[in-house]
Amino acid sequence: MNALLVIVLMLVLAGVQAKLPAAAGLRLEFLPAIVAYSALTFQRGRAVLLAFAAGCLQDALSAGPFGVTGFAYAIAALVIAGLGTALDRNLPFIPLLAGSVASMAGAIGAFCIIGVTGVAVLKLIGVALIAGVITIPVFLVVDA
Amino acid sequence: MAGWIIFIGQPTTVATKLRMIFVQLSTPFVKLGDYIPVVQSRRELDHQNRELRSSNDLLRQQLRAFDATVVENLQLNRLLAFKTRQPYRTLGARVIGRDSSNWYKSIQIDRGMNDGLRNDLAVLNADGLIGKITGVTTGEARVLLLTDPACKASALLQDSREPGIVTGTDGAKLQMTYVSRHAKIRAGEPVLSSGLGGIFPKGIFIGTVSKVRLDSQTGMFQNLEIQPAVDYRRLEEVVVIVE
Repeated sequence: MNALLVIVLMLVLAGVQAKLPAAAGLRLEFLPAIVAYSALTFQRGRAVLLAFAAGCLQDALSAGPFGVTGFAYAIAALVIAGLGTALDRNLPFIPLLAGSVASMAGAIGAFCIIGVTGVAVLKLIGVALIAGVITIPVFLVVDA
Repeated sequence: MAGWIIFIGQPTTVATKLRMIFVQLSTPFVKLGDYIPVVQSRRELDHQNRELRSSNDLLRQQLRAFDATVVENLQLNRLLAFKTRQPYRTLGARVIGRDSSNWYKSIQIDRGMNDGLRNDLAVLNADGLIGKITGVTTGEARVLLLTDPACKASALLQDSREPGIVTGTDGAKLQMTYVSRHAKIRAGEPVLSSGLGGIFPKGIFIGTVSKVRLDSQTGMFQNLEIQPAVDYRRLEEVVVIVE
């Protein structure tokens, strides 16, 4: 049931993400929150599958090559889920960190395609921080 | 003094009981106030005020919707005039989404394969060149914006006729590379598509030169910073050149 809710939320957030304008060149990323939630909540296999689906959804709504973000998110989910037993997901900084890691994984996947510049690295930090902050309310809403 | 205020503000048992007594004492007077004519008229005025406020809100919303319709009508008229001026067969489309990623610059339009769209078709609006189609499904297409570094257009400076390649950058500006170092270029000079490359037709306005500098790596070319003619953040309707 919870996984179904996550899937529905993923679709809604992906739609919203594609509608929102960028502010100062930065766009809000909601899908890393889904990756973080799945990785810290579900069994590893299911988490990786959901993360992959989230990344593919993002790729489908972007000009990036399809599957790159899916792959990056899947690896992020694998790593976060692997550390899951050592992490207390109820501490606010754990979702923040997990969301940021997922966002960074997506960015690194994109860097493999577009290359890395100084501006892009600065952007990665900003985007990862925002994604981390967004992850906290997503945890609260889905858990509730 | 502050200590007293804090002490009084504390929800002690005595304070709570005192408060209850005061409330019980004053409540009948509050209720009685409703029957006094002055208060009644005040209540009537309050009621009228609330109704007028809500009707005012409704009218403002209607006015806003009307303004939006007028703006949309102007935009569509402009686009229609532009479309009829073009010597190409074009197709109008609405922007239905932006790129959901932070790392690519693209938009999604509401026309696809069913409308005859395919990859590498040029997309523009009344202001200038927007980009090219990079992905099509039956009912929608993705347009890679010229501001994306992966999108390249062969271009020409309008006055000096110097050729070069226009690409996107990390920021909102475009850059024109491979411009001869001997060319005399002035800021504000218009940049047009050159028609070479087979994707973008010749003569479509791209933007104006905002900065000129020598390529620091090779020293053989000039790199120009281009102020795009199109406001890529506010794209609503576009035109696809089908043929």
